[in-house]
Amino acid sequence: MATASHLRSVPAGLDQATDADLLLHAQARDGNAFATLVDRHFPVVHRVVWRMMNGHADAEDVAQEAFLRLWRDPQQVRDGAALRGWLIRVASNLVMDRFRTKPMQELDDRFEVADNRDNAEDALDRTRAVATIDAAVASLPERQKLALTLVHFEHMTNTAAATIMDVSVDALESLLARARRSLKESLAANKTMLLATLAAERT
Amino acid sequence: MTRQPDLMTDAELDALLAHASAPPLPLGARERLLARMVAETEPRAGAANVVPLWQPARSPSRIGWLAGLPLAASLALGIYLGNAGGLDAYLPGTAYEMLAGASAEDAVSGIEDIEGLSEDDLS
Repeated sequence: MATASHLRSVPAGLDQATDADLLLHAQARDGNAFATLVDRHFPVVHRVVWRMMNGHADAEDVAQEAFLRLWRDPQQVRDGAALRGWLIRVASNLVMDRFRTKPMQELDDRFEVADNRDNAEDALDRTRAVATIDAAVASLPERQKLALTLVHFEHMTNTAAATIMDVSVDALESLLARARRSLKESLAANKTMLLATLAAERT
Repeated sequence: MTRQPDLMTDAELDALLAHASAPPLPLGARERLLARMVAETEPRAGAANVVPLWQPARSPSRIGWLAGLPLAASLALGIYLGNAGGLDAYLPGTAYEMLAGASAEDAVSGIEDIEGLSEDDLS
């Protein structure tokens, strides 16, 4: 029986195998093959979940749950080449379910929208600037946030993102357009200061 | 309908989004996930002693059907004997008398009619 310590060292051949091959090994309860899949896809699944949950501490738990569902029944994935998309879809559905049953109330303080109305003339430091941008992204509706995360932050094509979200490309582009319009509206008030502060950081 | 002025260009928005926080991968996340995977794979010690509050519905067994057969036969026999009247003598006295009384009332209520018929027959 495999143990967690045994799975820390992945055999040399497995990291060259395709997702489809690893999935076949995982179906045969090969823990090392599954660990290789974890190495490949857990970071991106965690990033997507983290953004959708606005940095909530449960993001790791939700990302893990998506992988455990794969481990329990690897045959759910019919196309091994589409494994990453399957994992992201399962994880994002888990996040949506959590939003339905338990609204996120323990958001990280960093994600609270900065109120700059009283001292709009003050320069924002980098931390506050980043927090303002994060808060604007966090305030988007879930599906707009997922579309933005997949396309903008994870650099997926519109087609790939639409497949993961199970919508048409037109619908995905509509979600993206609405997300970007909302972001522009929420960030417009601080646009000059944000751009100046972040540009100053780079110089 | 007037068109709202563009609050921010796409390039400006992209420049701002490039500074959004990058989610850090939690330390030990991989090990925790694999430990959960192993825990699900291995049978848990003492799991047999735990009685779950909810159990999935079991499919009906053949033994259950066999146990029902004598009960059904007994019910059918009871209905047959009760209908044939073979068990009336074994009924409790009160119930038997009530049944007998009901029959007697039926018989008495027809006496006058019987007398009328008798006179007609004699004439």
